[in-house]
Amino acid sequence: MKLFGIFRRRATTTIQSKAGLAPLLGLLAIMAISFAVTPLRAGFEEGWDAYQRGDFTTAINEWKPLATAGDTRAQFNLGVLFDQGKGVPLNRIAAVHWWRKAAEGGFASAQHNLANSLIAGDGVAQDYGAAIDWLKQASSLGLARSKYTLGKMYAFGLGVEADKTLSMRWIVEAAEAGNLAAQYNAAKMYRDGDGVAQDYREAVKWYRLAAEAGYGKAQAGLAQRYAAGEGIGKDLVQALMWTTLAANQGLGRAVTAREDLLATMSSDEIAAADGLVKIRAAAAD
Amino acid sequence: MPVRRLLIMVIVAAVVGVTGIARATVNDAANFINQLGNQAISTLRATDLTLSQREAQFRKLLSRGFDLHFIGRFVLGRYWRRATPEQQNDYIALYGEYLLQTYSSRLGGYSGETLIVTGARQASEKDIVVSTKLDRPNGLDIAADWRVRVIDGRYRIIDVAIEGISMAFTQRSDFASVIRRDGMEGLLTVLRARTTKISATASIN
Repeated sequence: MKLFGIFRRRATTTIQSKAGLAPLLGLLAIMAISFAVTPLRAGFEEGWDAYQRGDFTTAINEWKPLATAGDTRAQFNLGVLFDQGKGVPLNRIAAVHWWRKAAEGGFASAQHNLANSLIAGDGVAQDYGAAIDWLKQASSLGLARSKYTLGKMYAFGLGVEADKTLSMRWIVEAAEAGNLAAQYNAAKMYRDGDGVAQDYREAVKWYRLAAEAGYGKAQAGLAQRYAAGEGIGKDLVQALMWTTLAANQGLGRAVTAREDLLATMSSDEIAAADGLVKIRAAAAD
Repeated sequence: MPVRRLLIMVIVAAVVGVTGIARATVNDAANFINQLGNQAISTLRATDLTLSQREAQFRKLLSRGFDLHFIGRFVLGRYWRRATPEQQNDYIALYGEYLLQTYSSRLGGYSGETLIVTGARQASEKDIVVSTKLDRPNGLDIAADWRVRVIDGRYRIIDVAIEGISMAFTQRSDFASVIRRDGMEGLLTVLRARTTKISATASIN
């Protein structure tokens, strides 16, 4: 009898607590939702810290649930880890899978990387037309690198009719946004009158911007302008300085150009150029 | 008998001499890889730097250690001479970038590794292969064989085989298939696409 009594009391308690549970459940639901949002951010940061430490396994473990839940930044980064084989065996199909999800979610860097996978045919069938579409989307979001790549697609006629004028337009846009490769290419196109009226001064302007930022090929190009005195006053000391900076980066043709210059210059001029190189090297350190 | 003994001594001296030179070169090559490895490890351990800064430093080390021009030409094989001078210039620049990016991103990110030189052997008249083991904390050790040659008076890496698979030969066959399909410009496009990709970010767009 006693035993039954206990059972009855337990049953009653359960029924009573069920009655008072509705508001509690509501509260729990609200908490669950807010918790679900907070760990999303926390998980990303923890993943990012692990990534910086070189602990890619933890980064993947943190980002994977976020990526699955639709976080485009986590999707993009997961794609990078698969593409570079960090913390996982290199897998370009998986990289494309995550980049496509992030690209469809409007993440510009993912649109750019997906476009380049489509161009190279890495992890996906080569498709220049689809690549152009993604590059245009990323460009419209302001990504300079995509504008530059679009410029190259128009220059080579990949997935589009070759169009030097359109190529130049995209490359100058990317150059204006600070893309060094685009600045160097804009300089060459102005120098050669390729897709635009020849303009040595504009060529020098773009060579200089990229050269000052340390872009080796632009340094070699600027050196040539100084040596030829085209678009700028002829100045062999400046020419030698820029070609030496480019040669120091291991640029083969700058090494040759430097030897040619040295043969025509006085020891005073060479010493002056060496002094300038040292000043720049010291400033760079 | 004295003549025979003298002859034996000469032969022994010659053999010792030859192996002595060979060993000295083998030792130098092993030291070169060992030093490069130690520099790389200390770069990787610089935890006050961001991952991309560590990768950039690692990349500088690689560009000094690898003969990018030599490897690039080898990888292109017979297509090198068929390319225009402009294409050759573009290719060398892109290939160097591709190789450095690939290796600095694949190896440069890790920390807590040690590189152990496990042996070195004369692989051909000019080349020495230095075998190493990259010990990783997670137990995923990697065996890497570095093919080293003296070029312009300096020790340079001309190939690396990871777990027995040669990078140069793998790329050579990959590149040849791209060129057969899309020509030299096609290969340049692929290399351009691979080297322009954006790396991981904490930025929200």
